[in-house]
Amino acid sequence: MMNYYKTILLLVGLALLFVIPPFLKPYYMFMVNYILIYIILAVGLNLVMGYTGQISLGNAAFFGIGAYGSALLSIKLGIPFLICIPLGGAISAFFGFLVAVPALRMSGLYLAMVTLGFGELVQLIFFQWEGLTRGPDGIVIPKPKFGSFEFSNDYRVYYLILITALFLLIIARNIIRSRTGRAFLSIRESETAAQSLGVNLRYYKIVAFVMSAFFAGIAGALYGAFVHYISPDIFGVFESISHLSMVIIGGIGTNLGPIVGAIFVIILLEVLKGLRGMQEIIYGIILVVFMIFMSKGIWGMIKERYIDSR
Amino acid sequence: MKTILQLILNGIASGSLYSLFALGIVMIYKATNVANFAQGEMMTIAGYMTLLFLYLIQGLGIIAFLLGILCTCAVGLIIERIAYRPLIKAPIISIVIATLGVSIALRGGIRMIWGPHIRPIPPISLFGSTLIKFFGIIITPHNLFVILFTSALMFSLLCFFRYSKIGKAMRAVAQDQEASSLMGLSVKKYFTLTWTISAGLGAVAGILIASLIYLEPDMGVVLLIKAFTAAILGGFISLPGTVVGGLILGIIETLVGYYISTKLVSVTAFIVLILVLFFKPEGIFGTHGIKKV
Repeated sequence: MMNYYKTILLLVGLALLFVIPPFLKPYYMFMVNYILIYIILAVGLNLVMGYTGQISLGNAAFFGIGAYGSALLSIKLGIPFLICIPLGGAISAFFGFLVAVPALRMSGLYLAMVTLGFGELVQLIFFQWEGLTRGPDGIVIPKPKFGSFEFSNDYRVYYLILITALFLLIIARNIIRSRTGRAFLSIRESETAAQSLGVNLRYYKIVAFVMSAFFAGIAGALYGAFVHYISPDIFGVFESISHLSMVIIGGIGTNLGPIVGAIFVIILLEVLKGLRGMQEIIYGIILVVFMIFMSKGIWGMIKERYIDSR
Repeated sequence: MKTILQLILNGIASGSLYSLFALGIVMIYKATNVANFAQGEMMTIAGYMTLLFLYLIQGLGIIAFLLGILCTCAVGLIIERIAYRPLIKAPIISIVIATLGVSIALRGGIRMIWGPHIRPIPPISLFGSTLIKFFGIIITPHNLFVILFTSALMFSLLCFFRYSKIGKAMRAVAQDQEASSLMGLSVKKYFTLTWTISAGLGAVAGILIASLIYLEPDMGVVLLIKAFTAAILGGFISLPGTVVGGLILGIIETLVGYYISTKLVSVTAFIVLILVLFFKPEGIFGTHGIKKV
C-alpha cells in the first residue's frame, strides 16, 4: 500500500515539474533552473562522499572543466551544443580518473588534499591560459540549438536541464541499487571489512570519483548553456565547499538528501547575496553546527524520525 | 656552483617555514587522525594580528610578532572548545568537515574585518637590515632569522616530544586514547594542548611567510597545499620526516623558479604531490601502516 502511494506521489510530482513553467515568473524560473543544476552536482558528489566516505574538495574544478570543455568544443569546433553536453561530462570524467588514480593509492584523507590542490590548479589554468580560456574575461556561450529550435530563454532551457537531471538521477539511483552501489556502501561502513570480503577498494573508489566528475561535468555544460557566460572566478574553493555543504546539509549518503541540500543552500546563498564575507561565515558555522548536532543532515533526520521508525 | 648554493639557501629559508607549518598539521593528524583544513587560516589570522600590533606598538617588531603568536594560540584554543571538542568521539570525517567549516568561516571573517586587499607586512628581524655575506653567498637578515628561529623551534619541539613528560603524554594520547585515559591521562586536556600548540606553529610560519610575501585573506589555501605536500613527502606521521619534506619542497620550488620559470612555482607543490603519490605514496620516511580492526 505504501509503495502504491509513493508511486502516485512521484508521478504527480513529475507531472507538476513538466507543466509548472508557464506559472512561474522569470525570476523563479531562473532559480528553479539554478537549483536543478546544483541538484546534479550534489547528487554526483554524494556518490563519492556519501557512498564511499571520501571527501572531495575539487568538485568545482570538474564543474568548470565541463563548462569550459563543452563551451570550447561548440565554439572552436562547431560541434552542436547538445552533443557537447555529454562530451563535457566525458572530459570531466577523464580528468577525474587522472586525479583519482594517484590520490586513491593511500587511504584516509589523501583524496581531500589532492582534490584541494587540483581545484586550485584548474582555476589557475582557467585564469592563465588566455589563448584558450580568454583568462579572467571569461567566455560568452551562444544559445544552444536543437535543429531549428533554439533554447532561447530560461523556460526553454528548463526542459533541457530537467530531462538531463531526471536522467542522471535515475542513473545514480540505479548505481546505488546495483552491485557497485552495495560495494560503495560496504566501503563506507568499513574499508577493512569490505576488503576482506573481496571488494576491490581502489577500483570502486575510482569508479565513484569518476562518476561524480562526470555528473559535475554535465552540470557544468548545462550551466554554460543556461547562464551563457562563464569565467574562472566561479570555479574556486568556495564553490567546491558549496557543493560539499549541499550534500552534508541535506543528508550525506541518502537518496533525497542532496536534493534537499541543494534547494536549501541555493536559497540561503540567494538570501545572503551581496554579503560575500557573511556568506562564508554563515556557511562555515552551518557546517560546524550540522556536524555537532545534525550530522545526518535534514533529510537524514526526517528519515530517521518519521520514515524508518514506522 | 655558487648560484646553486645560493638557491639552496633561499630554498631552505622558505622550506623551513613550510616545515613548521606542516608540523602543526602532522601533530594534529598524529593525535586525532584529522587533517586540519583550518590550519591555513590560523596562519592568515596570525599575520593580520601581527599587522595590527605592529600598527599599535610602532617599531617593536619582535613584540608584535610574539603577541600575534599568543593571540593565534588563543583563537586556536577557543575554536577547539567550540567546534572540535564536542566532536571528540564523532567519526573522523565529521571533524574534518568541521575544520573545513572553521576554515571558511575564518576566511569570511578576515575578509569582513580587514578587506580583500593585499597588504605588505614589514620583515621581522633581529639582525638589522644589512645583507650578510658568507663565503660569497648572500643571505638577507630576514632569511637568516627565519632559518635560525625555525630550526631552534623545530629542534625544541622534537626534544619536547621525545623527553618532556607532557610531550610523552601527548604522544601516548595520540597513539591510543583509551589506554592513555586508563593510565590517568586526560585525553581532553592533551587534545586542547595539541590544537593550541599547532595553532602556535601555524602562527609563527604564517607571520614569517607573510613578511616574505604579503598578506591576503585567501593565502591560506595555497599554503595549505604546500604544507600537505611537505607532510606527505615526509610520510605524514614522522615529525623529522615532515621537516625534511618541507625543506625539499622549498628547495625544489626555488630551483624550478630559477631554472625553468617563475610561473611554474605556484604549481610546483601540486606536481610534487602527484609525483610522490605515484612513485612513493608512503613518503620518504613513512612506512605502510598496519590497520587494526
